[in-house]
Amino acid sequence: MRATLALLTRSLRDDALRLRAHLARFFLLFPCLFCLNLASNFDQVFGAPGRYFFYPMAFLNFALISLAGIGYFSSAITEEKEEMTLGLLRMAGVGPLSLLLGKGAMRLITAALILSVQFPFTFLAVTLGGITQNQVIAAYLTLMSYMLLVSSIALFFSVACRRTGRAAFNTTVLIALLLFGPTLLSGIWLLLSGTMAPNSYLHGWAPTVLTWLSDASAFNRLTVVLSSGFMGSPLSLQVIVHTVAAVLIFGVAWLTFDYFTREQVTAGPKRSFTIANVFSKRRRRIGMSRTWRHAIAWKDFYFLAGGRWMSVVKFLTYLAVCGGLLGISKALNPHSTLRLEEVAGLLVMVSFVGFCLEASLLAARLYREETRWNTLSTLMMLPITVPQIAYQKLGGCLLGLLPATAAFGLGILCRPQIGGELAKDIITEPWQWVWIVHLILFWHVVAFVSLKVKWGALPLTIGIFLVGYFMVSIGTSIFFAMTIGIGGPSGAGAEAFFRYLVPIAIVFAHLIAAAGLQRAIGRQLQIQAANTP
Amino acid sequence: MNDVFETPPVLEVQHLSYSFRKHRALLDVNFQVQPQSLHGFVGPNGAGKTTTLKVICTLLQPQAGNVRVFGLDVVHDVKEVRRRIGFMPDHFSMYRQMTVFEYLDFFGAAYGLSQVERDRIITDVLTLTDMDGRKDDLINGLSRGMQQRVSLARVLVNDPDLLLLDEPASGLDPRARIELMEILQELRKMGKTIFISSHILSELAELCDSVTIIDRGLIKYSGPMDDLLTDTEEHPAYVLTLREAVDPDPQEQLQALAGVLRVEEVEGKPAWSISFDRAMTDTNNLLRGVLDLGLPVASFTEDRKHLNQAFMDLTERGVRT
Repeated sequence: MRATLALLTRSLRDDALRLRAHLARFFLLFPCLFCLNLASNFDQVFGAPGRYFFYPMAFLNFALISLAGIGYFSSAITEEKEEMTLGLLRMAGVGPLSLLLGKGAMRLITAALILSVQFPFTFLAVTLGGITQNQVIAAYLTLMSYMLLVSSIALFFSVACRRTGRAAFNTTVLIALLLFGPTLLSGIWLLLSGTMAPNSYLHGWAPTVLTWLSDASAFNRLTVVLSSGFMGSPLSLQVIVHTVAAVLIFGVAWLTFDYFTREQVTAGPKRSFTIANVFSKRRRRIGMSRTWRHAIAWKDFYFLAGGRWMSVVKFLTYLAVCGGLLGISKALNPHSTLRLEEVAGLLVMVSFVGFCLEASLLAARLYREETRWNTLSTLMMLPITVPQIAYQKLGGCLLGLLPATAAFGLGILCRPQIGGELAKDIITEPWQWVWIVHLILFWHVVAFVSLKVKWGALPLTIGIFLVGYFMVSIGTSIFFAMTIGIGGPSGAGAEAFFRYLVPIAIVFAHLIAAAGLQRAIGRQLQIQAANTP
Repeated sequence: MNDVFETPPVLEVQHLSYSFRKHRALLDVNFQVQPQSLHGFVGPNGAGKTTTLKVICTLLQPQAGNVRVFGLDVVHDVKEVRRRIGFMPDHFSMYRQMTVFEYLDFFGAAYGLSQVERDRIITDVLTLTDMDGRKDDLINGLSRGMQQRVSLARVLVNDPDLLLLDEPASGLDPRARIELMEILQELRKMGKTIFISSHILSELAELCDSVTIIDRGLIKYSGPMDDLLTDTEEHPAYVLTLREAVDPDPQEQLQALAGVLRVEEVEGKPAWSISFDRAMTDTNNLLRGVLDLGLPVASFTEDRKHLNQAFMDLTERGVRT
């Protein structure tokens, strides 16, 4: 118990002294203020200002808790493994339970502290009207039980996995299943039930299970709690299920702690796809070439993006995913005929989503891997400029995105009209440029954040963007509410304004921000290279 | 020897100062390193060694003063300076997921060497560092000593004229340390200038031609190693060793000799350290006096200070606050 308290005290003290934590609390006040503003504006038009204040806040909290699970809770134990300090803590007599409580509970408390800044404001919602105290309490109970579950899941993976990346990935998959699983299963059941005999065995219990799953979903519960006229108890099936599941998962993490941490992780980057060539007894990488003239691009292509062999695997995976989705579709609708444009559309969509995911993951690792393994100073000592280093690294990663691009191209080849329509939309519709520059800005922010934080750059950036979207959407709502009141722009001038001027201004703002981030990344690289211990 | 010192210095640090916010790391640092020499850079923890090295290798920019490498300014001629130096940091800054050959090949290519040149140079540096049998091994699987050799091989890939080594022997076992020092001596014979920061003072004493001692950001000594180890001031000391112990103890007789200031018995053997006033006598007269005493003299040698002693004399006790 003394060890748990020592770890807790250290963590709380650390949190109190860290400027970043205070800044996070400070910035979380902005959504509160925005929501208050929204509520006061909507009050004149729709009424129920308390509801318009609390509703978006609750869902923003829900999203932030999900992201914290991926980026914050999942590194609780893996960070000790990666820094090779877990063994030292165990030798100092710190047991598994103390470690789990000290590290896991500390993160839970820190996250709760960050969110607690809203409490005084959220109870204001009751005074504003449109929402009851019962609803506020029920919503917070839902969020707290969800946070408990998410932190337990992340803590378990932090114990079971050797590295933070793997723990974060597994947590993401499980949270996604928690969030979308009930809806997905309901959808599948809806399709399957039509093809089955009404008296089949599944008809007996499947709807009950699906209803239970739906009731146990935190997202669904939050929607119910915040709907008008909610009078139910704050304690619900979801709260009980999540809390019990959290305790059970924590128990499993405790019981399996020794098993999963019996071997110390070697601190060092991992090399994938290596085989020992039995004939020459030489260790080789499959499909590996000699270093290119642009050596840094070569390094990042092979050691970050996976190299040639991985490219083939990725391309085949895209095809397999499309094939799998088409197979499910065919199974659910046996009488439907497969059309080429559907295949092409699916390939384009899957490869585009894959491209975005891959690019985001690579942006998070592009510079982080150099700082993590202290290789930045050696790299920066090369007789080339910082932009040359940065762009060579980028080049290597872009080559790693070729499989997704090739799958996209294949989709277009299958149905050239799709390409034509896409190109036409992109050229003629300035609002299409907005999401392109938005993605570009997002990757820049990910890369920059990865130089500032140890873990979870991607979830943190998603969180930043979520808060950003939230504030922008509320700002836009306020703008429209105000313009409705004063008449606002109308006619052809208004169309030109919203169709061309606004998106072009947004594109320019994004590009300027991206350019600024490039400079900041360059500067940060120099600072970190000089500060390498 | 004079010819060497007439050539322009490879490294010239003039009035260098550097601070981290309110913490002064370096203050008016001045020293030079001569071509083809092995120059030791010694100082306690937090003395400013790594900061100095980072400024020399262009990772940090001097806040005051200037640093020239082969006459090139480290602020304005960054690329050319980087081409001519090889920096080995004190941490393992390596791509450990690569094999030894891939790692060296990567850096060779990054320095713009052709594949043919890389093949030749990598073979040479692997032979020099005795790693040619391990070139297909993953760096992650190598011992610390071997990783240090690979790190040294990497520094040599672009054939730099000046090697900057930050604590290269730290964490190595005695054998690996001795082998590393042998490689450094070999490199000096090949005409390289080596600037080595180290805590292993005794090894530097045997290895280095010159030394700079830094403490709390201030240079305490910079010059030839011999001058540091030999007390050249007015009160030199000599060690008199006898073939066997004599009775009575000759300490009082030695103390009575003209010009002798202090006589101290060397523990464990029939020997005495005699310091004298150069103004009153000289080495010949002192030796003559000793022989006149009829003692069975085995040797009469200059009492050279150990580098550790010189280091302790020049640096202050405790850590910087």
